[in-house]
This record gives sequence, C-alpha cells and structure tokens, in this order.
Amino acid sequence: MADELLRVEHVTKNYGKTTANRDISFSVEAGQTAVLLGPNGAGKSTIIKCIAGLLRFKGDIYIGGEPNKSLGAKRKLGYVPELPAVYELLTVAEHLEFIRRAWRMEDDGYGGELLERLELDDKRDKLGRELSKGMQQKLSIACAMVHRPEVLIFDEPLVGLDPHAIKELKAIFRELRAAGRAVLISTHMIDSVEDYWDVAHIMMNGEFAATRRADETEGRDLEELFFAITEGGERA
Amino acid sequence: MSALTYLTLTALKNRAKGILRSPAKLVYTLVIVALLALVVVSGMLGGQEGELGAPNSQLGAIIVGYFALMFLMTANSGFSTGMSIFKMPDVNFLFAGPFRPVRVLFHGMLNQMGTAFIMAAVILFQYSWMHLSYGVSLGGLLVVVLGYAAVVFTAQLTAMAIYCLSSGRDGVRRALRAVYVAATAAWVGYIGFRALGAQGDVLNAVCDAAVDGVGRLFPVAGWLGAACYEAILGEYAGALALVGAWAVFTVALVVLMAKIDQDYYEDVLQSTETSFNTQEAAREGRISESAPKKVSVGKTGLGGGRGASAFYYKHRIENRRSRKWLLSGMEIVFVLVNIGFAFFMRDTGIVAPLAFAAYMMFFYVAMGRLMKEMTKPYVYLVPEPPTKKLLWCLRESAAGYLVSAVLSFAPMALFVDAPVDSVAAAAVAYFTYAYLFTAGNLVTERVFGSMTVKALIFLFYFVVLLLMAAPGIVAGIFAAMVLPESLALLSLAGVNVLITLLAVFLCRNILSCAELNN
Repeated sequence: MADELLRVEHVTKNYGKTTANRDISFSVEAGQTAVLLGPNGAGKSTIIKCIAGLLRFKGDIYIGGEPNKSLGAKRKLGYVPELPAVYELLTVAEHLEFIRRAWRMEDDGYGGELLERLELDDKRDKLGRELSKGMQQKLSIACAMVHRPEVLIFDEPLVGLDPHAIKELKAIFRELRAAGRAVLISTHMIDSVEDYWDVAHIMMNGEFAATRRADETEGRDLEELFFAITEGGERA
Repeated sequence: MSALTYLTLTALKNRAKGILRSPAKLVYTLVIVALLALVVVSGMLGGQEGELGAPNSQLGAIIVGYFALMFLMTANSGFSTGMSIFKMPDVNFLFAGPFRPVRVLFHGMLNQMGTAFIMAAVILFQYSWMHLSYGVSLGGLLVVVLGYAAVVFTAQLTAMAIYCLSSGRDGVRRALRAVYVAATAAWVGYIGFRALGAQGDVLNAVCDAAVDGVGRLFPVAGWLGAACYEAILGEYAGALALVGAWAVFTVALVVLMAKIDQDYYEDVLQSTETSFNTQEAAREGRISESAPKKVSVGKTGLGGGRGASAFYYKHRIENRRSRKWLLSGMEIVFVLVNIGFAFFMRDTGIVAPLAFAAYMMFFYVAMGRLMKEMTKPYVYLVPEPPTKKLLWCLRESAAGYLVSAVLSFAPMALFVDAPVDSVAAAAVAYFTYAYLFTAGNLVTERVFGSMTVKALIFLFYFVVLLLMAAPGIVAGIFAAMVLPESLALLSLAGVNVLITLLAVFLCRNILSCAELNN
C-alpha cells in the first residue's frame, strides 16, 4: 500500500442509463507501468478521465494517497489527453512557462530538455495553431511532464506521433519507471507497449476482463493474451 | 426524382422527424410558436384604432439600417474566411459526384434559402412594438420577414462570390474591397450630409435620407429595405421596381459564379471546411480562437503569474495575438448606441440611459476566455482553489468593461440633465452590471452546461439575469428614498458586486469536473 501512487477503488461511471465503467479497482505502484487495453468503447478513456478529475464518478480515486480532486493530488498528476490540448495562441515555449507558473515551479531546464528530446526545440516560438497534430501531441506530452509529476496518465499517447517521437516516448516511459514514477497508459496499439509494461488490464464493456502481470504471461506476448481474452473468452 | 431533389426532400423530412422524436426540440418548437402567438395576439389587443402609430420614414430607416448591418457584416466575410452555402457532405458527395457544378450551386442556394428563412423568423417577435408604434400589420411584418430572408440569402451569396472571385488574386480582392468600401462610404456620407444640412430635427433628416430616392440605392439592403417600406405603405409599384433591382443583382451573381468561375469547387472548399470545423468544435464543446489568419507573435513570454494568476497573464497574451483590444467593434457600436440613446433621453436624467446601457450589455457580455479555458483540461488540473481560478480567468475582461463605462458615460456628463457625481456613479453601476451579467453566464453554464438546446439556455439566462439584477435595483430604489441619486446608484453597484461574488463562489464547482460543462 505504501508505494501505491495511484489507487482506484470501486469506480463506476454512468452516462444516463449507459454504464461506461463498472466497479473498477486497481492500483499502480511507484516504478510501475500499467497499461489499459481494450477495443473501442471499452471504457479506457472514461476511467482515465475519472482519474484526471474531469468526470464525476462513484467510488474513490487516490493520487499519492490524496483524493484525486484535492489540490495535493492535482500537484502530483500529469495527464496527456486523447486529443492534444494546446492553446492556439501560445508559443511552444510559453506553454511550458504557463504550466511551470501555474504549478508554481521555477525553470529547472527540464522543459527545454523535453522539447529537445521530442524534437520541438526549433519550434519554441511557433504558435500552438501552427503545429501539426503530431507536434501538438508532443507538446501535450511535454506539458504533462514538465512539472515532474509522480503519477502520469497517458490516453492514447502514441497516436499521430512520428517514428522518432514514438521511440523517444518509449524511452521516456522506461526512464519514468526507473525514476520511481507511476505510469498508466491507455492504448489500443498493443505492440506499442509490448516491451515495457508491468501490469496489463484488459477492458471490455466497461469492466476489467482480465489483469495480467508481465511475469504471468506463460510465454505469450501481449497481443496473444489480448485476443485470447477479448475473443477467446479467457478470463481473470 | 433526381438525386439532388431526393437529397433535399429527404433531409427536410428527416429534420421534421427529428423535431418530433426529440422531446427537447419539440418543447422548444412549441414554446417558440406559443411565444409568437402571444406576441401577435398581445400586439393586436394592445392598441385600439386611433392609438396606433402610422408607418413613417423612421420605420423605413430602421428596416434599411438593420438590413444594411446584416448585409455588410455577412458580405464582408467574403474578403477573409469566405462564406459557404455548402456543407461538408455536399463537398464529399456532390462535388465529387457526377453533377454539373451549376446544379450543385442551385442545390446549395436552395438549402441556404431555408436557413435564411429560419433566421428571418426572429423578426416575427417584433410584431408587438412595430404594430403599436408604426401600425405595421401582420401582412406587413411578413413582408419584412421575406425581405430580411432575401437580404441574408443575397449577402451569403455575395460573400461566396467575392471569395471565389478574389481567392488567390490580390488585385481582384483589392478592387472588390474598394468597391465595397466606396459604396458604403458614399451611402453613409449621403446620410451624414443630409443630417448636417437638417434644419432642426436631425433624427428625422437621417431617417428620411435612408429611404429617399438616393438612400434606397444602396445595394441589396437599400433596395429590399425600401421595398418593404413601400409595400407597408401600400406603394406596390415602387416596391416591385426595387425588388426587380435585387432580382437582377442576384441573377447576375449566379451567372457570374456559374459562367466565370465554373471551377468554383476549390474556392468554396476551404470556407466549407472552416465552417465545418467551427460547427464540429462547437458540437464537441471546443471553441476555436477568433484570431486573424496571420498572427503576429510579438513579444514572447507570460511575463508574470504564479498559480491561478498565470491564467490571467496567459489571457493577456492571447488577447494581444488575437488582436482583441480593449473593445471589440461590436462593443464600440454599443457604446455609440448608448450615447445616442442618452442624447435623445437627455432631459430624463441618468437612470434611463443606465438602464438602457445595462440592457444592451445583455447582448454582448459573455464569459470571455473562461469559456474557452473550460474546453481544455488545464483549468481543471492546475492545483489552485477553483474560486481563485475563476476570478483570475474573469479578470481579463475588466479593462474592456472599464473603458466601455468611461467611453459611454463621460460624454453623457456633457449633455444629460444629471449632476456629474450621478453620472460617475452610473458608470460604476454599469461596470458592476458587466460582471453581474458575466456571473449570470456562469450560473447558466453551471446549470445547463450539458444542454444542447441553446434557445432554452438563452431563456433561462434571461430569467437568471433578471433575478440577479433585482436585489441591486431594489436596493437602489430604497436608497434613493433617503440618499442622493449618486449614493443610491452606488448602493445598487455595491449590491451587484455582492451578488456577483456570491454567484462566482456558488459556481466554483464548475471547475471541479469538466463533465459539468460539456
């Protein structure tokens, strides 16, 4: 329990009569990378948005031991939304400055480092509206990381990225794990998380159909596991 | 039945079915029809024979002026983003399909005409006062509705033609712009000239000029506005001649599009995509920046802000880059209207101009950048108290409201029959109304954030504003019994501030989750 940086307890989310998430519980420990897998409409983005504090839900979510809507929890969270969230009239560098100021942080050079790694350093003075979808996604990632959060949640982070950015982001995921951060990634691109996941939660119809740890795969890769569960009826 | 006819009829049928199947839309339609009936009946009962006004040049000027405003604003978009009478499915299916461009053009025009009629239906709600003040009959009002629909339709067609003809051709764009500016300047100049030469009643001179033989020459708005006025007067021959001028102009535009610019698809594509993206963004709760195409970045860096105040510094940069200065063009028009109203009411004191200016504010006060902010995750994620974030997000509008108050009321001090301290207090009260209405927006958003029927939200907003404004008005009335006028107005302002702060505090949860707002 002590190093569980993200804890989700019995979360249910309804939209009218439709249940998007039903009694979801899981946790992500420090230094762990958890992935949410599932077909379209499985409820991955909904649980991610609940964790980010954007939706109302039944149940409890704790970030760093604090309720997810408290200021303390927000300080520890980094969130990369499914659609890149950039301000049209702010330059790339100003986005990072805004986040630093809003989180009351000094510039420790990490923002610049992120821009360099994500090949955005030559776009510092470009406006958000001038960036391509892929570049906006990279900027969104940099914004979520620049305040060095303990918990990072990524909603389909690789969509629209170029090969270099995908490679770099995968390296970043590994570094975050090594640095003791809790990382939760929602994706339907199974092969993209194949080589760095610790726990995989496979979602179907708003529920966890199965949870597997990386050392419990019995030699099967994640894709085989996914289809065995979603199409073959394997459970638990 | 041809494919295009099938498409039009099926879309119409499905739209009608949609109204019947959606309870909210059905209720809304019934409410609108009931309100319309109420307005017409109350208008008819409101004035006995002999008490009704008669149509005069004031009525004509109102019609022509309103038509001109609509025409100029819509046609002007042809110089920038363009105006498309097509929708995205038209582009995907019809542009790429085996249809002659001119037939596709007519299909777009037909659909656009439907939209123009819906927009024009709003005029029906003006029946009561038009009937009482100018004796306009229901038939006369229907003529105005028809005229307005024709203006909207022609303005959109004009904008599309301007865009198609000038897209990528700077010389043509400059020439068309010169014609647009020259025609407008000549018309305004003529009316101004008549006003300056008036012996006595300036207002009547302006009204006469708008509908006389020269004033009515102004393209589309002058022709159709004066035609409606003539029809209301029963001068059908004059009306027909003016309608003829409009018909020639419209046919000429169509011929121009069909003959000269046969390959208009490419020109229309961009404006169709722009309007599609805007509609999609609105549907998904995103709000696009209304910034010019070419943004000058200028000085970079926020230059200040820690925690919640970072939003304010960010908004300052965004306003600068979107060229939103203290007042928008529309706000300047409202300032001028406020001064104009105060001039005509100068003998009645400062309360009537203040009430009018506050009423006008209803049409343009909004939540500013907070609305845009709520469509992005950061305002929810930033670890700061929600009330603080709300207040910092609302601060960017303060300077504009202040300037609007000063520009509206400072000139009033020169001619309104009221002591200077009362006018100053009225300016303060006006400023507090701006934030009271902003808070009204916030309350409406908090309650109805997920509603899609915008007209119902608008009605609710109106009721909320009345309720929120009531305590200040009551306080002002009671204070006026024992205190001088200026202090009574300041009491009103003080209560407005309290109500505003209370509303912001009660709505702070609007930032606790995004779901409440989209």
